[in-house]
Amino acid sequence: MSLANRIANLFRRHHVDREIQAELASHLAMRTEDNVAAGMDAKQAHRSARVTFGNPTVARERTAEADAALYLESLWADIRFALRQLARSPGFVLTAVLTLALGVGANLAVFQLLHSVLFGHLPIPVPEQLYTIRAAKTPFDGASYLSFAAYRHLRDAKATAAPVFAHSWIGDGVLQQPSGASSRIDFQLVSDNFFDALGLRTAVGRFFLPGDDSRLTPEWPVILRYSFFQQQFGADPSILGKRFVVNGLPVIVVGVAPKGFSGLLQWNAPDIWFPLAAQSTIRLGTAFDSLGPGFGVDLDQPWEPQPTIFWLTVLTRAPQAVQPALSAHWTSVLQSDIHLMASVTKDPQERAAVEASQVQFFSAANGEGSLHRRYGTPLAILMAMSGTILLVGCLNLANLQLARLTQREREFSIRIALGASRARVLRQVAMEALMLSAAGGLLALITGRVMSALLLQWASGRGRPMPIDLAMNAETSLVAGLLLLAAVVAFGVLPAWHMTGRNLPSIENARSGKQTGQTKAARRWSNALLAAQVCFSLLLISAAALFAQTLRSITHAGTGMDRDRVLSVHVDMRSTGFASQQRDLNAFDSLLLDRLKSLPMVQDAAVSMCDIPMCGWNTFFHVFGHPELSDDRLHGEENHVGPGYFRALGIPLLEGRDFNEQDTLKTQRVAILNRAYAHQLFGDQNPIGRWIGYNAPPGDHSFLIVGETADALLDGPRNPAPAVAYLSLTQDPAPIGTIEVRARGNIDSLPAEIRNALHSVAPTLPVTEITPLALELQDGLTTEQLLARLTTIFGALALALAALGFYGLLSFRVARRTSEIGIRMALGATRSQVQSLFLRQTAFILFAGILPGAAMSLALKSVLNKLIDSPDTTNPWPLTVAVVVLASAGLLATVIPARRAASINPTEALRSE
Amino acid sequence: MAKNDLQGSLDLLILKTLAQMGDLHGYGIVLHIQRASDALLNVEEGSLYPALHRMEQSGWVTSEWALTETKRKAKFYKLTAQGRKQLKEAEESFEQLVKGVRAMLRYA
Repeated sequence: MSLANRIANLFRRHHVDREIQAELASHLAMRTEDNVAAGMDAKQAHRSARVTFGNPTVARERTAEADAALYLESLWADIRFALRQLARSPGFVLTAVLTLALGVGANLAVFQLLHSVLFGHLPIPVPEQLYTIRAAKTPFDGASYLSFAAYRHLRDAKATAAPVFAHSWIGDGVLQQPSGASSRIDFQLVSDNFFDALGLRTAVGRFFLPGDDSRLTPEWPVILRYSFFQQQFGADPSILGKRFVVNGLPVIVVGVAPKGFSGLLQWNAPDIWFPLAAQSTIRLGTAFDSLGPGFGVDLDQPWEPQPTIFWLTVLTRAPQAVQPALSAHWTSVLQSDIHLMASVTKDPQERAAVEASQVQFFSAANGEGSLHRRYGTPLAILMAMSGTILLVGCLNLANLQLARLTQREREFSIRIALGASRARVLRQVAMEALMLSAAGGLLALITGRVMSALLLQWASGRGRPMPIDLAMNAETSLVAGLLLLAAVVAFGVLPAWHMTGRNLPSIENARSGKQTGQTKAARRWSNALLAAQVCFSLLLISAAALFAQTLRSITHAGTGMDRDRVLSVHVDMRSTGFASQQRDLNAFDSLLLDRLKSLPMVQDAAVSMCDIPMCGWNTFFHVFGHPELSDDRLHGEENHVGPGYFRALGIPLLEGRDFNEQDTLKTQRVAILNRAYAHQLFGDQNPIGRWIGYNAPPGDHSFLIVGETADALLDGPRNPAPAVAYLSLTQDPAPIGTIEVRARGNIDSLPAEIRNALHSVAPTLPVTEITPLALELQDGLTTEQLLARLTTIFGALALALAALGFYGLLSFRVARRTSEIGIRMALGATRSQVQSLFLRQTAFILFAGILPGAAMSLALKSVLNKLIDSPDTTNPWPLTVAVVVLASAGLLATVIPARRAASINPTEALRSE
Repeated sequence: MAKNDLQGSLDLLILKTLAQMGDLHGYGIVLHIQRASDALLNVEEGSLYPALHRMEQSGWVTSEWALTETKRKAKFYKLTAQGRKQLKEAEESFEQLVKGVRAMLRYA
């Protein structure tokens, strides 16, 4: 029969059914006629015909099955049957659907993130041809940024077809609309050919025009990111030509980037793009790389003419084949820039290495950044963990399903006795699992989406979520399907296979409704399943405890600062142009500090130029009398602070004095070093009274060292304490970045008070953020937090499932053995003996699961030790805690059914027999 | 080689019957097998129809409702060209089986 016929059969179900029935009926009728002809009476003839024929229902069903298309019809019947069966056990359905929704959802979320971190390509044509260009590393930061001069050299070297384009770091600012509404935005400066070279097309308007990146204009043309355009302006194309103010500068919108494009950086997506030339008038954040004040760098002057400021990422699009030729060409073009890097390198060997630098190409197909290096391993660990939680969930469901099927033994016996084949019964049970999986799978899509957004937020720390596209893709859908299929097989089909494979109780037994205990084989099966569940649960719980402990030990280790009582008040005096309106910055600082110190809750307050952590302002000091010191000993970080800074942060002063009001523009310029820097420059000698300076002699004795402080983990708890030189803000007035406020007691209510106080003396001062120092120091801990949070959730889920598993299995066993327990009690067993009968089973399963689980946890520890930085693996507590918690949960969950067993009334139990 | 099981033999018996007798209904097939085998072979009547329908799905036979000699409505099955080919293969493979079993039994 053709396929069309089979499909047509689908709609002719009743017709085909009737036809089969008629065919069988005619067979029986002919046999009966022959029987009558042979001399039987009518009744006998009919009976004999039926006996020779066999079970007509079975024959009919099998015949219908042979009509292949009808298979689909019986499928529909199976679906209805499965739904009816499931409606009878809502508890099981709820557990199954939730397990799948959470288990598969978690896997999807982690997989999606892992996939896009490892393989996510930029949404541009031919992303694999996009490369960043790097030459010599910058001397102090070791970064790959290029100066504007270097970028121009590359761009003007027009011997090739490969485009050269550039973008800056991301700066933050404030966008003010004509209506007066304002919002915080991230912006980026890009070269005029940036979008065209990427092969993009505008969603609306135009991109930058040639020359936009070097033309000074009173009104900067800007391009918006599509989703920003959507969220802020409702994707209204009349945005073109609209005028706004960004960081005090008038701008005009000329275009919107295509949907889905969020820049080239993995970490952050700019909302607005400016042409490069805008740098001269807009303050581009504090992230910069330069040769420092000693090399004539002036960050407040335009950066374009300064070849000693490195701020551009330069890119090209070039197939691999042409890269060697390009590299040689561009290396020759960049000679003057490479020479500049070499000239500040003192060590002759290193200098030679810098001089020999070649232009190199680094693929930017996945965007710029090292997300895969930072998150690849943690996400792979989480992937394994989420796979394990799904496995644990499926083991749990398999056990519950096995118990459920055992309860339905009687039903199966009857159905098989009535002629249902084993395959038919299997199919119906599988159908139930399929229905559950379908429901769980649909929910998993939703939970997966919510969880991936949450994961992304966690991975992004306090900042804005990273620009990772979380839309479902083909790979994710495939994984979802495979996981669900595996789940169906694991908890649906295998238990049913096991059930129908062994000898079901005979029909007589089934009809009597006698409830017996599980057979020995079934008991062993369900014990093994539960023990396996315990084993993997222990793995998850101990991993959770391990990561929590690691995070705790990092965040609670001393940082050399009193972080719990300090609030960092961030002010943005530069980008808003606020600083330029102040005539006397020192007096303004004093005004703010005096007001803050007058608050009863404030113990101390001090100003500083840099934020903690990662001030990142690199510096280079020469030591008077010691021209022989190597570069790496001279290199450190620099911050400019006001008096009382160390007191406010709780950093102890080891030697000498703090800055004070007597350090003025007219007095000797002074410096304070921390222990690390002092040790770098002077070894074990006392640094007080020594001289340092930015330049080689005679510029090496500008600053007199007056103090030495202890080291502090200013760059966050995962980084070593940096070597820091502090200079006095009162001697070199500059706009401040942060006010560190030390509270007397609780810091929770302080931010609002601080805001009010600052507002009362400087109503227009832009206060961007007030954050507890402890929180800021955690910024570098996103991977640790991510691991700790997610594994804690997994661990808690595993624990709940284990408790549920024990409760379910033991309740079922108590119910099955009611009459047996009745007999035991009638024969004199005590309540505690009955209870211990079940507690012993739990103890046995726990033991069988915990033993391999503990061994696996120990193995996992050593693997983790190799995979990620410094997990705290020496501590025996996480595993111990995990074992105790899991064992208690198992025993507690058993107590309820065990007590139920002990309260069985023997007379009633026996009567119901 | 075709399957050497009972299923295969039932198919063979049905195909052979249709080849020898022309169009026939299910009951007629049962009777013919009984008669032709001197009542040695007793087809389980209930399993005849699934086999017939499966063979129809495979295109070995076609079916048609018609009247019997006793003017009763019955479904008549007819061998197709493909069915004849199938019969040839089934016969050959059955011969192989019989030869094999016989050799086995004679082995001293």
